[in-house]
Amino acid sequence: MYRAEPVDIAVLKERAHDYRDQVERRLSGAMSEDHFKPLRLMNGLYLQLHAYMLRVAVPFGCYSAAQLRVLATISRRYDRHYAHVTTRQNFQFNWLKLSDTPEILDLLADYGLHAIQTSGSCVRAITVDPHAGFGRHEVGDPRWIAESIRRWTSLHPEFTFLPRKFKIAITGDETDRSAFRLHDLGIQLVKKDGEVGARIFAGGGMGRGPAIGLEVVAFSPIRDVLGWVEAILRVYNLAGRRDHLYKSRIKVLVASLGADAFRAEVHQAFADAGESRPVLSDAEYAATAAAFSRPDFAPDAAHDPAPALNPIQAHWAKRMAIAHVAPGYTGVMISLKRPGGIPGDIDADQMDGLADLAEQFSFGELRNTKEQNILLPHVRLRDLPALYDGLEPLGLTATNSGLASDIVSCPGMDYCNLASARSIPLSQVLSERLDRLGLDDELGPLSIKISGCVNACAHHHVADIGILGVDKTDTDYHQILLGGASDANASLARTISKALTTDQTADAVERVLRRYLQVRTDSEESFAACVRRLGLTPFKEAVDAAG
Amino acid sequence: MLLDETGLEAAPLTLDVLVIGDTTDLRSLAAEVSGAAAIALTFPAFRNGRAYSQAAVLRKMMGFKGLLIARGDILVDQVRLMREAGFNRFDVDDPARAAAVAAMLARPDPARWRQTGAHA
Repeated sequence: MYRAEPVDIAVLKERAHDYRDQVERRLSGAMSEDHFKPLRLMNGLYLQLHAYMLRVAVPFGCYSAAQLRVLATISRRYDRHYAHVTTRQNFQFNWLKLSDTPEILDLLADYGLHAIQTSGSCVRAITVDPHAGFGRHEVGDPRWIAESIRRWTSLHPEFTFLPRKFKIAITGDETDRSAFRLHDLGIQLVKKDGEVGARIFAGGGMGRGPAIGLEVVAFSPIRDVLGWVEAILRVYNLAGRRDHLYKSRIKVLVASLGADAFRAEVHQAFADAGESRPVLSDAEYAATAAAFSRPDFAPDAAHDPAPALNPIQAHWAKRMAIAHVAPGYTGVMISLKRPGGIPGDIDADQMDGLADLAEQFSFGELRNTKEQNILLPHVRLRDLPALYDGLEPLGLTATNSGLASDIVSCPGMDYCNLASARSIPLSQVLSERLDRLGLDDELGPLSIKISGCVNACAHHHVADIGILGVDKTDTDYHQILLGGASDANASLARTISKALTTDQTADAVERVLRRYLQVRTDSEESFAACVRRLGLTPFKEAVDAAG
Repeated sequence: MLLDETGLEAAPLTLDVLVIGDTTDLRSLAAEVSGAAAIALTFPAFRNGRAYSQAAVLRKMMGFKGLLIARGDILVDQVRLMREAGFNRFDVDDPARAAAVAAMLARPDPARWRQTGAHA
């Protein structure tokens, strides 16, 4: 896990100090909201429907038990005793008062946490494969290059006022869990002639007008990655549109220039930079890698007998355990999706309890996933029964990772002033329906993602079943989309329904699921594969067949 | 009022200033840039950050060593970033804002995370 050095804390304390001064100027009236807004956004503070929302940056989704405890403290002292895991691996607090935020940032800084660049027209939090550092098939740990890029792009004098936000995702595995093809800039670590390097994509996006990115560099040595990032950002910063809020992302620039011309511009900018180009030296990269301390795995764990799991624990472990590179160890997914619950929310008691369990069973390390769940990366297999027994009273043993009831949902109109519809009530109706149907295991891997508007924060474009909130009247209306994927089979989901009410949507989704069970070749054919084989028609028919 | 990079009032310019708009492609002005002693770049709105990249291109790639002037909508909280980006003159009309800008420039550069690569 990344260790904050004193210089890191010093940076954060100074930022928190500057921010306190800015808030005082705002509260006294010396600064207008118009001038304060970009400054507070640079510190991840949004003004939502009911209160201020703070988006805490969790670098690559990785954090410690101690950090989780301070988040629990903040939720109790300044918020409503819970926090929300976002689809970019961060945490959000939804009910803050502006006047409390300087103290909150100061407290976060003491624990190496901050909210810098979680908003605004700058490079945002970099997300990575949640199996980073322990996945069995990893070519390289994506967090090392992610941290190098994070430091280089943080408060960068050239790239702090981009045309719009800029999101980066990185994976070190051929099986992609980062959606790197669907980001403004995506990196996949690959091997070429024994050397680990970066395959670089640009121009993807999951928001309005989703786009699958294009490969800009097939293989870059690690030392040149920052140079490529600089080239892409510079081309975007100079040529990206600034006249229209919804036409300012890099994907629009790529579409207007065309793939070949865009690629040529980036390669030209890379070449033009010459000696000024940032170079990531071997020594520096190694130092960054060393800052991610590897836990002291017990060498004799390889000889542990199989864990003594009772049937319920065995069922849970089968679904929630993740293959680990260290013999005798496993990753464990903790689902924050309960029937009728709010996806991604975790309450203060759960946070404290989970922090204790992480300390006891996972070397104090935790990760957030973009599916709004939490992962314990390094659990000794023989500890699984004890871990389960610790999770059970916290209500954190939902056994649905990657299944239909593992619903991703944006906060929606309950919180967000950008939303067209509420998302949470639909996710609650659906999760209760799925629980009643008991079909999770039968359906197999299946992603349902609910966005409250076209900004698509729940990434519904790349879901098996994507749901989009649409503007109608006072009632919530939704449209169903099908066939999205963000992995190597990347595709954008397509609309298969007209606008439906929340209950109609839940009924239609149920009919789609039942249709899949009818038409799949066998239980081995996943929902995604079935849709690829048959197309949308059978499922569109199911949606339209309202009883 | 023209301020220098430390926040002090700078001597009025006696040189010709090459004024470059934010959408101008600098590659088309190679000859003019090489002959210029002072260049002014524009921030039409404080959110418009094109001039930061223009400054980078001028300083790092075109080898411009003269006075690089920031003009337009400049927020107090941006001037240290502008200075790091290569600007060494700040053209601020409003006297009240000029005082705040001067005070901000008198502070050292913001604390940085450990340097990565060549932050030239």
